[in-house]
Amino acid sequence: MSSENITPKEKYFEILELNPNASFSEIKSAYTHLKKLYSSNSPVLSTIIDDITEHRRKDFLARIEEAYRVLKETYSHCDTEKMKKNADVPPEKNIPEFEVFSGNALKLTREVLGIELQEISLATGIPVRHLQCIESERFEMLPPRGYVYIYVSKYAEYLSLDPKHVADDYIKALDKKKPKHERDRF
Amino acid sequence: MENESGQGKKAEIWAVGGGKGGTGKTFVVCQLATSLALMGKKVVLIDTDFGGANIHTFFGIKSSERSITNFFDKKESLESLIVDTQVKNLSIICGNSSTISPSNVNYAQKIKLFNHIKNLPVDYILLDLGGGTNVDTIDVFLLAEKPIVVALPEITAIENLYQFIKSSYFRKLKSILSAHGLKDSAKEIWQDRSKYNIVTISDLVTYLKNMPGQIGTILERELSGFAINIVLNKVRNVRELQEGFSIRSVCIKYIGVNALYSGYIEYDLQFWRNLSLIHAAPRFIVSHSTDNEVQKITNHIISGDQMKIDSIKF
Repeated sequence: MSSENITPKEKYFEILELNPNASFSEIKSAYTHLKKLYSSNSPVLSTIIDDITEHRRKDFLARIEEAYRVLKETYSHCDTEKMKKNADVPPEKNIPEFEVFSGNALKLTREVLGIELQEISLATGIPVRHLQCIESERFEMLPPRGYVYIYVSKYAEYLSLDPKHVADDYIKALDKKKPKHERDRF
Repeated sequence: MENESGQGKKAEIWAVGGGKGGTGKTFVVCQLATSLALMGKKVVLIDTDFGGANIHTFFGIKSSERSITNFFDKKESLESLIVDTQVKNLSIICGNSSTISPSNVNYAQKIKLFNHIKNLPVDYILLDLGGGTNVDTIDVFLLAEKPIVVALPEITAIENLYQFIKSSYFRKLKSILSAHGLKDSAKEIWQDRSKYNIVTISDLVTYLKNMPGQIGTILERELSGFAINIVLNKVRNVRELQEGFSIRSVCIKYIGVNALYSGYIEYDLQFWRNLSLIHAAPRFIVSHSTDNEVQKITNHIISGDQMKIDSIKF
């Protein structure tokens, strides 16, 4: 980790804790993460903070800012088309348009965004097997209707879709397939 | 790295430690060993958690008379203590959980063990170091090609992890300096550290590296390959998952140790439900996603790769 034999640009990658061949997407994510970490009172920092002076934390933040500023400029000199692909495009622009949201529509949207079921499960608390049943519309394997509504809302919200619209569509389809008299107290 | 013919390269050692008890080191080391074995590698998993041997339970093997203490007390060969498991290519050497007086294994004995381990005709040797930051544990940790720590995304576990890593790094530094007759001069500098504007071990290393003479080159060379693999266990949500990146950052920026976020394992309810069935159904039962996560971690450790920061949406 000696800074003697590396180029200035490599040094900036090192500050952002990245490989020198990192993509712009990684650079942006690393910057966001490190800036947040060293500006916060995160438990990850608090137990080691006795060893650190305020000056040092500020020093890190300054170096992180500089590293990002320089590397960002480098990338903006590249093909702008390439940068558009890597930069944060609002999800709405990438998502295929659906009129009615089915389980399959959710699945397609998720796949276009490159999101694994596990990620959604971690973020929403919905077990992966339920997410799978939602996507494949295995209604008989899902919990009661009320829960399904909530699950689908949360799932849709995570994909930046309108939770009410999606959940309403989905429940309509579920009601058609599953006769209403079946355990529909919720 | 292949050693199926019994010739060629020696076995690669992976040591799993981490300081705090209950983080899931044994669980993780058993999972990694199984993962390697299922890839077709010959693996021996050794329970060096003196005082807390559990590996045999994870594989549904009765706590046997043939344990690692036989190597120390009765001078039996390591090969004779190896026990097959239900997983092809994976064998274990049990720790001792049946004697009343715990084995007192000193450093010399551990080095003897290490030398014998290295000669086993396998591809990988995995060691469960158990908890604690005592010097003997750390010394074995530092002997591994792949030192691995298991942490929980939880403040007290993280605190203990830093302690373990700091102690390990300091110990490594001491041994490098001792080997080159530089220990005393480094000690003097450390004792006067405020004079040199040195606060952490990392500062000390930077200072030594910039000193004229051999110290800088030696340290650079000896420390450059050292990297700790971090595995985050019992993760329940995305926020906890991202702490792996944060912990790695603190290791690099504050402790001065190179670290890799090898991966995470979700809290696996299925496993805990099934653990009590292990004696009846001696299969090591985890959920499908744990399987995937472990495979990812194993591949990362083998390749020296790690989790990508932009793969998680914050």
